[in-house]
Amino acid sequence: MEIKIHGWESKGIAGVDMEIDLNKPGTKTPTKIAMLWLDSGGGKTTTHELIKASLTGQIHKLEAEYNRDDGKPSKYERKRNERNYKDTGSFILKVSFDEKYCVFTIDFDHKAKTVDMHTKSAAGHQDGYAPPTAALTYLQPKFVDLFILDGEHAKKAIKENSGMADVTLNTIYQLDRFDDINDSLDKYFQDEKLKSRGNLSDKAKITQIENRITALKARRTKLSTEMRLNSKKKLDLEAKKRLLKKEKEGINKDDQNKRDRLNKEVDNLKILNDEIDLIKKEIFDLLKKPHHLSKSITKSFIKFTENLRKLDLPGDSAKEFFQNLVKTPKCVCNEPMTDARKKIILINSNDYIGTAHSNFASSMKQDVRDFIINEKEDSQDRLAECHAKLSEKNEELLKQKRLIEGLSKNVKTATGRSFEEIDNDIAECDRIIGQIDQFIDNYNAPDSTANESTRPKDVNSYSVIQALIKQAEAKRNLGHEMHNKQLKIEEMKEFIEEIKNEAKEKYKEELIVAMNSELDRIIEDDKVVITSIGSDIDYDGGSTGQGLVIAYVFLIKAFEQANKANKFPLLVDSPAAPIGPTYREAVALMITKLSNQYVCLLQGGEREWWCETLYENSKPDISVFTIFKETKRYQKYFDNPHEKLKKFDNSGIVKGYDFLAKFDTKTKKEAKDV
Amino acid sequence: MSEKILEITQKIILKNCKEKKQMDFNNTLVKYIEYLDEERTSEGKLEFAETLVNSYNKKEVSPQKELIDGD
Repeated sequence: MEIKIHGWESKGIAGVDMEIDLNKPGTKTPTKIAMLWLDSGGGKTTTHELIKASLTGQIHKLEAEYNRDDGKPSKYERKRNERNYKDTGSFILKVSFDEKYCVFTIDFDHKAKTVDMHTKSAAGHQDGYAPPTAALTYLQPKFVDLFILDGEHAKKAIKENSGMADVTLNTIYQLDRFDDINDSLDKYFQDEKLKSRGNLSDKAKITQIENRITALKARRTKLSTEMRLNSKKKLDLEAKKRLLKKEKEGINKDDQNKRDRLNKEVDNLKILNDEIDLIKKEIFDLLKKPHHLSKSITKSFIKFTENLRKLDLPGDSAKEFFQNLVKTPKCVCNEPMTDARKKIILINSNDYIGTAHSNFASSMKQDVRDFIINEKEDSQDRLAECHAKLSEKNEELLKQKRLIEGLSKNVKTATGRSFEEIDNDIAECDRIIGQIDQFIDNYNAPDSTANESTRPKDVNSYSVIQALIKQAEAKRNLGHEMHNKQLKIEEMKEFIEEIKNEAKEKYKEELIVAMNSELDRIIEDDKVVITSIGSDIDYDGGSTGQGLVIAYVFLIKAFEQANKANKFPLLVDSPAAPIGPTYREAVALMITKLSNQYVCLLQGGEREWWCETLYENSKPDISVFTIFKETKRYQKYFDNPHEKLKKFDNSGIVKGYDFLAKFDTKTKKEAKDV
Repeated sequence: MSEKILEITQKIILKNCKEKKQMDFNNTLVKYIEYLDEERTSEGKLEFAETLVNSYNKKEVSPQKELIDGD
């Protein structure tokens, strides 16, 4: 994969408007080196960040700027009081992936506080971020960070415990593929666990299931044994019952009279019970009439009929009077009975009581008289009689039972035991048989309430305990399978990690040799030797000012070692500031020897010892841009414009090294004045 | 992964897998790494992960054996 940056356009956003074309004149190939000088406030950092956002598609961070916690405006928006403030803005990045062109556009709407992106490529115009699929691997944020970087970021790789060197190596040598594989193994195992609907991979849980199986099996054995014993016991009890009944039949001759007397009294008891039933029936029949249930009901009915009587309802009711009236030729007022009058009188007659109502009231009076007043005394008396008779019979019944009880004790069987004793034994047999029957019913019936959480000792059904054992065994086997799978995956992950570390060590060895060779060539006086590359780069000798030199050498050589076929542009923000003047020329010279595209965004005093070396050692394969804002300081370049000045809304750009070399330098007189 | 890196990495994978007699695993791992360079989806990764697990030989402990050991 070869990625190249061909240029960009920036309008209406923080910094200056600019159109940068890095291509060689008349071609679609960018120069190998590009230097862009922007003064403070020119949008150098913005440009660097937007190039990165365009390549990675991560525009959410840009939109988040509109909703800052501190309430300040977005850093991608110009100051509102600026003369050239715009409501909207855009950033366009032109790149190629293996010579296939692709244009990313980021649109800012400062008013609506939104950021959108679209992509134009051979595939046409597409909304959103749509680079070629083959490039996606190299456009992941952590990878783009390695070739679109700022000087300070690169320096972090050196002895700052940042872990940068390790991350960089993992990324450049794509050792993070092994991490991806291990992550996918974890994900696979998690999915398998979910599918198995249990979290049964650890041994403790399997032991727990084993214990449950043991308890269930013990319960099954106990139930089976109890079933066998109970069945036998039931047979024994039934045999015993038969014997007890026979025992009752074997009577002593001396006791025959007592036995006859007992039988007679038992018959009497039955008769007495029948008589009591008849009395009860009669009482219930009497109680079916509601006025016998309560004196207040009787009183209320009597009161009702008295009130009806007091009303003294007429034989002919008022309604019929009016109906007869309309048949006469004249009304009671001696006026003629017209049809209109007839109609009104008949309508009004409905408001008066009629014969039907009078008949109903009379019928009610008669019923109360017949069924309540006249019957009252008889029914109440009869009810009282029944009640007395019932009490009497109940007493007789009690006496009869006691008599039979006494006689039973006296009647002895051939064995010398009384009926009562034998009956008690039979009852005891029945009680135990009942318990056994309950046990057998439970044993045979399926218990639908039993489940995985039911305690084994609470299970009484054989079929249920069998099902629970089967269920637990299946779960245990699945647990073993998952447990083994987990152990296997852990072992695999360790193995993959071993391979990764061995590969990393191999790459590091080669990289250290290559780096030391390059550093030996660049730094002649204060020698630097890379001793190891761990999470950071360790070296002997050198000074702190050489940090960025080592970082450059590290990145460039790592990319070279990784593969010469893969070429990424190295775009660096503030490339020379962290490098002491002593090494600037050497590093600049090293950069010119790179086969990759190199773009640097310079500012202020970074020109010295840097630009000239880059220019002299790479011309004509270099583009140089001087970008300046239309301010008081640079007004003279607008008042007396250079022939190559390209003017924009709030800025000017002049292409060429000669202009940059002399730009904004003080004359001897000016320097003396200062 | 670039050809040069893939070549070196493959050699290291092969050396390790030979030592541990995991040649099926070697083949699957190399294919998986190549796949990660191409279009990759979470479903595709899971499929490869499963194939990788199946290609790795580990002597599994039977439930009964483990129970005896555990006890």
